[in-house]
Amino acid sequence: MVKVNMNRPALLWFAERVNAVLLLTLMSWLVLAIQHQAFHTYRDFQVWVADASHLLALVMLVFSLHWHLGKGLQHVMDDYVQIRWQHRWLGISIKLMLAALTIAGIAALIHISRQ
Amino acid sequence: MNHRQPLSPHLQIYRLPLTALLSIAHRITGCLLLTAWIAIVLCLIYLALGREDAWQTLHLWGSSPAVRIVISGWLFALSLHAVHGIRHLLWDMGFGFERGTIHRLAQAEAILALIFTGYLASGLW
Repeated sequence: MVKVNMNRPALLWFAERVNAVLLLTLMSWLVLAIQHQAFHTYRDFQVWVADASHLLALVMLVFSLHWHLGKGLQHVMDDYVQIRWQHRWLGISIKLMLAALTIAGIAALIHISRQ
Repeated sequence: MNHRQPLSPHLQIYRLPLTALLSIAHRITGCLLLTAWIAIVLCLIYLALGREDAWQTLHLWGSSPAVRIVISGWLFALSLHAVHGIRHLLWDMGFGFERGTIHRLAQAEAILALIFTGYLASGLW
């Protein structure tokens, strides 16, 4: 077995790829689930979300999306925002916005599952 | 002798290859998908607070053609972004860098994104 020593940037690069594969898998699952599940009423939707495996997958999807969006927006910002103070404030704003979206998304999902 | 500074290729007259266009599109679709994510979280909050009434309201909104067009646009963004992401993963594994392959893959990517969009959006219309 070949041992590979990865430094921090290489590890981050690898983690981004693993996360992208996870995101593709979870997103495909969600799309197929929505297409095959008939959510006629709110109750149908609520029961589906309340299923432990579905809730776990949805929470994982939210976290995975949070990380992917953060890295993606960071790349775009690094390439197009050159003024240092704008770069810094935009970076902070994006991190706060993504954190708020993640917390709100997970809180809403858990709230729906417990109704 | 007329000394002039060399100019970069003019973006207005330089025809970007399909691979470059798809790379730019990957960034644009990523930003568009952020707006979709914001909308989804807002809908989840609304559902968590409003329950059945909110469900009915969202169904009513979802039946309007304007909202369906916006959702179709998001689905196209999702399809293109996902397919280009898979291509990036293939590149990372060392596949698809040959001169002929790179252009064929770009064409396949655009076609696949349209097929996926059609499949996903068919449930809306």
